[in-house]
Amino acid sequence: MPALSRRRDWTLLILLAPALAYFLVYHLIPIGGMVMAFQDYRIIGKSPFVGLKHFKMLFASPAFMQVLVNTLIISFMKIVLFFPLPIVFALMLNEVRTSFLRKFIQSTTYLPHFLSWVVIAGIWIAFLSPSSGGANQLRGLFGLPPRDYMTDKSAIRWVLFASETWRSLGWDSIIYLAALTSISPSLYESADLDGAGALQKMRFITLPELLPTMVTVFILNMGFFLNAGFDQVFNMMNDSVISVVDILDTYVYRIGLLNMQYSFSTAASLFKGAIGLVLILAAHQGSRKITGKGLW
Amino acid sequence: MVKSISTAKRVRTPASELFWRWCFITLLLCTCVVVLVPLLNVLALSLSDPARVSEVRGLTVFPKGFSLVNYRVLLANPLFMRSILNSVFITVVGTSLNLLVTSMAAFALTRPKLPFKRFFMILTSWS
Repeated sequence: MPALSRRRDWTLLILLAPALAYFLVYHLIPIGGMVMAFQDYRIIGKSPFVGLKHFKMLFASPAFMQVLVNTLIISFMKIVLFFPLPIVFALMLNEVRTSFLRKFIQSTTYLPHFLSWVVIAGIWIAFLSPSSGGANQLRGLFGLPPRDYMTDKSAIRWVLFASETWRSLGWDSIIYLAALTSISPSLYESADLDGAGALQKMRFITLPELLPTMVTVFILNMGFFLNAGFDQVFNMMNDSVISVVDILDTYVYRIGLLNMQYSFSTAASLFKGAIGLVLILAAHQGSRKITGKGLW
Repeated sequence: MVKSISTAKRVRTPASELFWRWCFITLLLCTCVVVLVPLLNVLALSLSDPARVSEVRGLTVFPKGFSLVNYRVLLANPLFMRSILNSVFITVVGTSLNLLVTSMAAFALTRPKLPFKRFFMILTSWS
């Protein structure tokens, strides 16, 4: 490459400056706040340095362990159990040839994605209400006694899973539909000539062609394993089920902002951040190995 | 003769495939019903005549009677109007600023002449 084109163009930095200012103010400076986790933070006066005291308290606390277990279980349901559903949905939708039906199904199932969790939680709490909700009206049709799903510890995690599915099933299938339409029709034509049945075409053409997309989506989601969805859990939880749905984010919010134990909640948050960083790095490496492309 | 063979070939779809296709369509339409019923139920509740609102059960999708009184009360509420304006303001200003800043940054980041390009690439994707 000629030396001229390699020359640095400092005016480009002006274009980048607003974005850099944003990163500085909202991402880099707040990192300094992490020091709170190693102090007994006081709003007024000097905060004494206490080392790992809050981390020791964190790991000795049974509440935190329960929160960690909840986060892992809920994330497992929403990432691993949910994972095949949009794929199956896209495969089924791909078989629908009637353009009108296809568009109707797509628009309908994309709809809930555009509602915020506050609204969805309102709709679901009304729908699952034991006195007037649609779910219990359905149970009544089968002669079953009404059940209050929202306050039932054994049901609430499935409510989270179901509402996540209700919201994201259609939307998450878009990427698979796009991958399906990019499969070359000549593969299916030659399979037809070889006398392959529908199942064989699925096994030897569709699934292998979809594999890179599936791997990428799965790995990307794994990076957010400890998130488990603050908005959803926060809006759907109530005091009778808090012990089984309280996740790291809601716990940090409650302890830190409501109970004002700033240092303790910063320690919890820092712990989550550290694990999250490891997961993201692992996702990056995994993605680079399998698809040849990293996350950045 | 030749023509009739080619059309016959184009139209023919194996019966088993048709059967599965209809199964899929049924399942997908069931999904649509599951998505739509709670939404329509809320809509029906909001549009029903307040005197008959107790008739709206969980699976009701059509309003009982018809009245816009709920919407009239809502729109007359100054707090609600304020929050709508706030939402619109945040969305419009936020989106335009976001577009401006990100497109400028993206342009700069794609130029090979940008100083410390690699450092900035890593910084921006590690948000």
